[in-house]
Parts: sequence; C-alpha cells; structure tokens
Amino acid sequence: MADEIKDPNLKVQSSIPTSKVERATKFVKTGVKVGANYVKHYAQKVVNPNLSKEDLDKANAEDIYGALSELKGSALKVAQMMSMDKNLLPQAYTDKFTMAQYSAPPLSYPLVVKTFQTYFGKSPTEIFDTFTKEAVNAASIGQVHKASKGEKYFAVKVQYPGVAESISSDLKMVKPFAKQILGLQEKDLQMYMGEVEQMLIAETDYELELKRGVEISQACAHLPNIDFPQYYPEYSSKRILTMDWLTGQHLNEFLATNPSQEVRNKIGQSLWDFYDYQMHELLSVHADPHPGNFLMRADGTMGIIDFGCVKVIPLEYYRVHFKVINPQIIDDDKMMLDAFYELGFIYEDDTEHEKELFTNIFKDMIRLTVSPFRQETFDFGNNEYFKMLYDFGEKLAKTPELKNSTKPRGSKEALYLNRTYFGLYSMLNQLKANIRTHTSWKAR
Amino acid sequence: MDIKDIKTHYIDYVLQNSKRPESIYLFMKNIGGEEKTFYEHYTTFYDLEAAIWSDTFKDTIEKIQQEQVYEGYTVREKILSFYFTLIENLKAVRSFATYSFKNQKDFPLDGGVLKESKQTFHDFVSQLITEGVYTGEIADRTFLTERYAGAIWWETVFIIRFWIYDSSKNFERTDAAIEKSVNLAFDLLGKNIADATFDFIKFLFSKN
Repeated sequence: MADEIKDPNLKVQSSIPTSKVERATKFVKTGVKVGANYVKHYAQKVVNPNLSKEDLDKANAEDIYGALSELKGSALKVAQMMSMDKNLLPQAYTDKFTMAQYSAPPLSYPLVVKTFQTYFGKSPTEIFDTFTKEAVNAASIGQVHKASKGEKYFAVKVQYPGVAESISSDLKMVKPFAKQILGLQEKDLQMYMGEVEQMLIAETDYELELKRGVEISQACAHLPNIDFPQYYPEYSSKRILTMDWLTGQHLNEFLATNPSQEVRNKIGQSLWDFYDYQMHELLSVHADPHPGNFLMRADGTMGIIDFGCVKVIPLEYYRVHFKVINPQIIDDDKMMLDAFYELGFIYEDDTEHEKELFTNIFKDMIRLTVSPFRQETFDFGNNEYFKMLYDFGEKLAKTPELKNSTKPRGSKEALYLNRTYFGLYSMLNQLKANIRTHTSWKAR
Repeated sequence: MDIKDIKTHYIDYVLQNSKRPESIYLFMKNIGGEEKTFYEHYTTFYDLEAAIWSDTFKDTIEKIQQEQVYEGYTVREKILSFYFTLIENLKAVRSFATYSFKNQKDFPLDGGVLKESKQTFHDFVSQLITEGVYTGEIADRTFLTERYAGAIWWETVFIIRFWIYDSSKNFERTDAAIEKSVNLAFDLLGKNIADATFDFIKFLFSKN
C-alpha cells in the first residue's frame, strides 16, 4: 500500500473557521496579505531589479494556500478547480493549489464514530474488523479511512458535517476572490457560479455518488487496463461511502519510480480511452480528473475512484460542442461561424470589430486545443505544445476586449467539460505519454 | 414507586404538556403516588430536573468509558467523544431538555438545572486534566491549572445552548461547534504563544 499520503507537517486542524463571518475574515486576511506581497515585491524590486513576477506569484500563492487550506468544503474545492485550469493561473499558484488537493487537515476520530452511530447505529469497529483511527487521505469535503473485514480491505469516505449547508455561502465569498485572481467579470461569474453550485451540491450526496460510480464502472468495465472499486451500499449512506481499497500510486509518486515509456504510454492510452468513451458514448463524464483520483501501477494498469463530480452532457449541447472538433469544420469558415453563434462565443448584436476579434480568438483556441484530435497519434510529452497553450492563455488574459466584454463568452455547460480536458491534458503531459488519439466522436 | 418512575413520568409530563405540572400534589396523584414520596427525594420540580440532567451526564460518562477505543484516546478525543455522546443522549428527550433549559431560574454557569451536572462533570474532567498535564497535552500553569475545569464547564454550557438553538439538519452545526470549540480549547490549554510571552515578560522584569 504505497498510496498513503502523509505529510509530517499535517497536524489535526487546530481550528476551523465556522461562521460566514469567520470564513470571510479568512479571505479578507488573504486579500490584505496579497496586497502586502505586491508592496513588498515592488519595494524589493527597487533594490533588486532582477526580481521576477514569478517570485511575487509564489509569495501570493503561499498566502492564498495558507488561508484556503484552513477552510474546508467548497472553498477548497474552488482551489482545486483553479489548480486544474493550469492555463488560467501562473505556475506558482498551480503548484500550491495542487498541494491543496492532497492535504486538508483531518477531523477527529470521535466525530467519525459519531457519524457512524448516526447512520448505522454502530461504531466503525463494530462493522469492520479494523478501522484506522486517523484518516489516510483527506478529500476536499471528507476524509478517507482504511478498514478491513476478513480478507478484504475497504476505503471508507466520511464527509465533514455541515458541508452541504455551507456551499452557497462559501461560493458567495469565493466570488469576489475569484474575480480578483482570475480577472473575471461579475456577469461572467454569475452564469458559471450556478453551475458550480449545482455540481458541488451533487458532490455532497454520497448516495448519488454510489449510484453513479456503479453505473459508470459497469458501463466502462470492458475498457482494458482500468478497474474500479466495488461499492457497498450496506456500509454507505448520505455521508459515508464504502468501497474496495484499490492499490496504486498517485501520479507524482508514480512518476518518481521512473516508469518506462511503454508503461506511461499504456496508462496514458487508458486515460484517453476512458474519457473518450464517457464523453461520446455515455454523455456523462467523471469531471474531476485530478491526480488523486487515479491509482497507477507498475504493470500499466490503473484504478479509478471518486464519482462525486459527474457532468451529464445535454444532448443538445453535445451536438454543438463537438461540432467544432469535427475535422472538416475547422477549415470551413461558414460552418464554424454558425457553431460559434450557437456556443455563445459571438452574438448577432456584436459590433463588426468584436465579431472579427472573437471569431479569430476562438478559432485560434480551437485549432490549438483540438490539435491532438486531428492526428492519428499525439505526443503529450511535447512541452512546446503546452507552452503554446499557456502562452495563448496569457494572451487571452491580456486581451482587454475579452476582459471588458459585456457578454459572457461560452456556455456554462462547457465549464466542467473544459476542466475535464484541461485535467486530462495536464496528466497526459506529466506522464509524457505518446498515444493514439482516436476519438469515437460521431455526429448525433 | 421509586425515583426512576418519578423521573420517567415527569419527563413524559413535560414532553406532553410543554410545561411543569401545576403542583407536586397533583403530579404525584396523577401518577398514582403520594406527595411525601416526592419529598423524600426532592424539594421542587426544579431539583428533579437537575437530577435528570445529571443522570444524562452520568450515563454519558459511563457509556464512553465502556467503549473499547476510549482508553486509546488522547484527552482531546475523550472530551470530544463525551460531547458527541452527550448530545446524542439528549436528542432522545430534546423537547424536555429544551423546555427545561430555557425555563431555568439561574444562569446555567452557576447552577440552574445543570447545578448537579456541574459537579458530575467537574469530577470527570478534573481527572482528564490531570491525565493531560501528565501526557503533556495540557500545559501546567501556576494558579491557572486549577481553573481549567471551570473553563471547560463554560464550554459545556455553550455547547448545550448551541444545540438547544440549533436548527440545522441532524444538528450538524452542533457537531461542527463541538469539533471547533474543543480544538480551540485545547490549543489554549496546551503550550502556546501566551506561555512564551509570559516567560519573556517575566524575564524582562526579573533582572538582577
């Protein structure tokens, strides 16, 4: 069992801010600190002109992470989401946030016992032969304990109390914060926040997660080299989820063992096929491709867990969204323009200048992002390609017309799909996988 | 008719009528007993309520000490488990507890319906504090150590009050309140910045 994550610095959380006021103070504190870092940065820059923007970002990221890691639930979730969208954030933020995916301070064992009592009328040790007193892994809205009964090992996820109720107020607080670091407009956020809220609320329902986990793992059972845990409804409830304990290592640990190119390709291929199949056959996707959910093994197989965040793609939207990766459309301006109107990239009442500008921006974006789809094989280890992606993201962030646009550009349905692809690309990049990028895309 | 019957009937009465009985005479008559039996044990309904609260405290302590994991717990975890179990026990008679707590004469910190429970809790927690000082979880501070039990009692009253007024589903906010307040308390009881500050100030003023 190599996948226990133990940070020696990770002590049981000393105090978790509860009320909205307390949480808000946390954010305010961060805001002030970030401001102070800017001051410090420019002051130091007077003395040392070689100081890079990256140093500043790093200082900021540390403070933001410090504040976020003391919060649980949705705030942490937002940090995770931002860490996935690598091209939206400078590298220094990303590294810090990636840490947030692993290390939220654990809650006490008596509370775990209490939760078991509430739902099963029994304590964990009455149900299982062994049950770890400390969490072996912290998830964003719960923590994982390892249990055993007879020969079998289980992963038991226990949710923090009150998470579901705090989502809405958490999101309201994150909003100005997200606006500041992402440089987004109020109105853009408004549209997307609803979608995020809905997905987060779904994520707190472990009964739903169990149902989806069973459905997707059955539907994907035929795909080679991947496996899923079995779920146990008799030991699960709204706030407790019990499944098989899967072996394997998380991406970073796995890479530290220097797996061969062949093995990395094999895993990369399974990842690609798994997502392609869900996207185009099931129309519902495991939309949380962060490295903590994939357990990789030396023989090139992989266990997949966590179906809390599943995006169901409406058929209507599917049609338009995947129109643009149609290999023909990209060279057909007329078809592409139609798709852009449908996707809300451009609007009839845009000025001619806006129309042209946005058409070009989104054309470039799509050319770039779908290029793996247009080739028989693709080498995700090619850092040139990812540099182009990041540069493009930077360029977008600096396009004043985009920032000042009074209309949201792009559908809310795309939010989690984009996040899924960012996550997938980024994992494939880290794996340096060279894979066959066929797609089962079809006109529906 | 023994004490236990009187208690059960009394809780029942308050649950059904949301108030205290008119008189001890009427109450005893209705349950088929004599007034003097009541006076053998209590003087007022108020004393009876205090005894019921205290029973809940005693039950709770007994229950957690029977749990297998209890011995292996740190002091912080023992207290957490006490609070979680206490609230669980109180849930069974929530309406009674709410009525009794909201309609007490004295401020519960000094007595009120919790006056007997306070002693029960004090005995329980004093032992834990000694244990905590021994294991180093709790800092031994001159003059202050003997006041710890009182401070934790204050927290107990806070938690009960929080639960009485909690309207969240499954009282999940009370769970969070317990977790957070105990963590805060133990951060204060353990060695912390105050000790270093005090030590430093003492040093400054004690120059030879």
